[in-house]
Amino acid sequence: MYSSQLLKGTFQTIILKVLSEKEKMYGYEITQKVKELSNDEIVVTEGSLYPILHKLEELGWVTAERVTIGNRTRRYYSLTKSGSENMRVKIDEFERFIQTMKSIFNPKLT
Amino acid sequence: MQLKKNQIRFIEVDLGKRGVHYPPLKEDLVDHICTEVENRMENGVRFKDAYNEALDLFLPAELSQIQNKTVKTLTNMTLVKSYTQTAYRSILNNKGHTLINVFGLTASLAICILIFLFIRYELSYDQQHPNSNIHRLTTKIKRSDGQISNTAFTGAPWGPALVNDFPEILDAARIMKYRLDVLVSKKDENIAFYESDLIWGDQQLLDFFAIEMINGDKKNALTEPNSVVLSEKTAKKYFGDTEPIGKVLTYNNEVDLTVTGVIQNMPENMHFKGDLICSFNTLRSFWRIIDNWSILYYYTYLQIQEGVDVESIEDKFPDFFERRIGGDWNLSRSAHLQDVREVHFASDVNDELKAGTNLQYLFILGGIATIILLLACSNFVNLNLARSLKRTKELGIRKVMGGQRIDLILQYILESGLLTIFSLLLALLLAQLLLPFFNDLLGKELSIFGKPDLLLIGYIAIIIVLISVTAGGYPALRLANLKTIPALKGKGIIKIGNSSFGDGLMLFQFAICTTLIVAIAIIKLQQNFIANKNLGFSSEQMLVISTNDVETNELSLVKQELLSIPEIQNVSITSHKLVGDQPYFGSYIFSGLDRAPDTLGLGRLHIDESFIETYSLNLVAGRDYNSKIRSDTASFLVNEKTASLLGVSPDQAIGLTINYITQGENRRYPRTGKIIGVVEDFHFQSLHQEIGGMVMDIQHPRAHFIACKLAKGVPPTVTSKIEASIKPFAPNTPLDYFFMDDQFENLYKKEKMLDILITIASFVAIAIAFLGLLGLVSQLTIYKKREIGIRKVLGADTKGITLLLSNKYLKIILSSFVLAFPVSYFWMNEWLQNYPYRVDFPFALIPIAGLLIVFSALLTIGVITKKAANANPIAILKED
Repeated sequence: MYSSQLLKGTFQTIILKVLSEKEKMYGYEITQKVKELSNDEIVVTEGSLYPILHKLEELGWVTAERVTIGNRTRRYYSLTKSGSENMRVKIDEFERFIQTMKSIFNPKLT
Repeated sequence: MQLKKNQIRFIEVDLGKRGVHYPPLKEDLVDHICTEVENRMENGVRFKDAYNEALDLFLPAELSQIQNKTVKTLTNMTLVKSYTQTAYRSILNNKGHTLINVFGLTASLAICILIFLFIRYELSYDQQHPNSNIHRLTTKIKRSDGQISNTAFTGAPWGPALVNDFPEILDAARIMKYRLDVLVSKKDENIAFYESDLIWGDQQLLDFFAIEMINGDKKNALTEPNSVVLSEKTAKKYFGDTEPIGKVLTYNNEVDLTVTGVIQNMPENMHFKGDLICSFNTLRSFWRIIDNWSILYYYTYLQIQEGVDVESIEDKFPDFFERRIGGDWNLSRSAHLQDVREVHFASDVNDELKAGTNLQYLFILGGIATIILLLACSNFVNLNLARSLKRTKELGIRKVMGGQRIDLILQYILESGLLTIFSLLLALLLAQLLLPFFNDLLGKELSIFGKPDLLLIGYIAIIIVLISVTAGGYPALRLANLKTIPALKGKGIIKIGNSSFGDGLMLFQFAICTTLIVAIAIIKLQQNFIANKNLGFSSEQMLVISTNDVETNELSLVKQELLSIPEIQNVSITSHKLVGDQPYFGSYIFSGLDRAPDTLGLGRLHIDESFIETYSLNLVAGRDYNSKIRSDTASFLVNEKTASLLGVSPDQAIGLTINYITQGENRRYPRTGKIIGVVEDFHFQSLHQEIGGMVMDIQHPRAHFIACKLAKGVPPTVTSKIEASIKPFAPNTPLDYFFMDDQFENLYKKEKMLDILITIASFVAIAIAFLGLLGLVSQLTIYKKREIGIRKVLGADTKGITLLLSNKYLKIILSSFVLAFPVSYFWMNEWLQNYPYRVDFPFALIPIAGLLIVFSALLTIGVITKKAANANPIAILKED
């Protein structure tokens, strides 16, 4: 499991990416999906997930839909158009970041 | 595995305690934790343990940190939006009773605010005058048939003479107003208007009453003859923006009046109105009868010395009149004093300058407003009582944990207080929205937010406190007195439908509903009765023209001209209009019976030969005028009432001789003639007045109105033809006319408007009562859900269950009738006494109203209980 310090800035991108894979998802489902995709290496805690989701909702990158499940209400989140555009930007940025990191850790000797 | 409602509720409450409040986040977390709990329970873990395990996934205090973090990243806008959405949802979802309470309170408060504004406006009449000790003289007239009537009319010389003879009467002011619109023109210019509010008044008038002078000398504006003071609006109408002072207006093409001042437009809430006030002493130059003591046509106001007893002055009036005009006067007349502040409500005085308001109407309206408030309050109390049952368990726990009684009460009062304030804000909004329609209906310009109004704010504060304390305090007190242990077991002492206080409230509500239905129906019946009452003559398609400037000797020519218009079937010229005109009396001597002549004071009307035909009157004895019989110009017609006053049959009245003195152009002269016909009684005055005796003869110099009977279906545009044919006879005057039916509408406009107001308010009251019933029954069905379920499982059918639930309410509603019968009878019978011509008290109405209420109540109860009775009993029983 990676340290939370390392993961901190990546949660938003991870959540956006996971949401883009499915039409709509609820909070618990997102945490499970991330666990599954990362082979239990990355855990999105409730403390990180929900504040980010609500902020994304405010920004209009995701929308929430209230659905009654059994005796309670479940909030399903789905990515909006501007959300998926922003996700692309974030992922591009992160990939460039990885390239940069790689070139720092493995300098090509010329 | 799905969690049950109460388990979820438990988690919700617990998360709240742990600091999670932001509604959407709370939904997320509840769902999240529920999923965790459900996963554990799948593996056989018990709920409580599963929940604790799920909580262990969080660090201590982590939950409240999530809340803080979420809220901190969001803008205030988002937060406010979320909270409002949630509140809105919770009201829509399951807070049925909150909705009923708020809705009921809002509607009732809005109506109360409007009624309050109206009543306060009516009560403000003539309260604004600077001089507090102004009284108006009225005259009491004893008619020959024993009836006594009060008139606001007095003689013109009385006022100054009283000031002269009585040291305690400091000053007097008089008003004279011609009963028709008068023509006023701008001298030497082609600007002329008919004025309905031109009055003649003494200089003292300006001092007595709150009349604000904005241009000119208030001290002397009306001292000189031929002066006139204009209202701002009128000044603008004639003179635009130019200086009006010193300009000249001409009254009725004969009297020049110089403008000496401009006053503020007079407020509506005074008992008289003057757009033009002309100096009273001008009258002397053209109104020869001004010195006559016996002609009652003027209004007299007296300023009485502070501290002097009004009755002691009245006691000296007979002596005064004996001294001035002889002792006979006191036989049939007496003078009285009336505080000007009470003039607007003196409904027993005739010949007012402005229609007054019957105080009884204001009482009724105020009563209904109070009732509406009480109804909404009792809904509040009843629903709170019912709801509190659900809470007995929660309260039991709190009591065990040391909750103080005062806390409980405060909590309840606070809750109702918040609801009340919320409703009040909505009500103010609603009232403001309704105000334009309300003003339209009443013809007034009331406003809520006009000026800061301490009285209104005070009333509102009192109402809020009263409702909060009664609606919250009573159920709270009942609850606080619960025994702790039964309460813990969910067994309150209060059972829904077992509260005698609640039953009492319901009894009261339905008694009022029945009474109000009876009241509305009777008001409506009486209104229809008046609208359809046979007046004794036909007012249909009757166009009435004022004779104005037409010379007396040309009247017959005018009549010929009018009759030549094909649309006009008949024309008759009279001295009075037959719609609510001021009565006019004469003293007639009847001889020819085998006894000493009778002298009777009777109504007086001057007509022409075609009167009976034009007005479609019924002749019950004798004959109509005949132009071939020359003596007919001096003959009389009388009504049936006159014959009965004389104690003879209509047939016996034919041939009797009448003598009376009439005022001619220059002198008084006697007239003598025989009765040739008796007509069926017809309504000369409004239907509030009983028909009196009426004597009719032909006197062309007194003609004021030309009535034209139009053929059926003739459009009002015929007036242009009429105008063309009259023009040659009165070239300088525009046509002044009205349709008789329109005038009748106007006659009853004010009371009709009040009746509409009462009807609307009553409907609101009834609706609120039913809303209460609805709320109570739906609470009861929730409470008895299990019982219903068990009964159904045991084989009860839907009908039986509906009956079980309605039984108790039906009993209450039925007993409410016992209360409603006498109340509605006494109240409405009293109201009907206002009308001399009225419907018989419709006793059948009371049971009909009762049935209506029972039927509606059954419907209300039925719809709700049926739903509950139809529900699947297994599902219900499993739920708990």
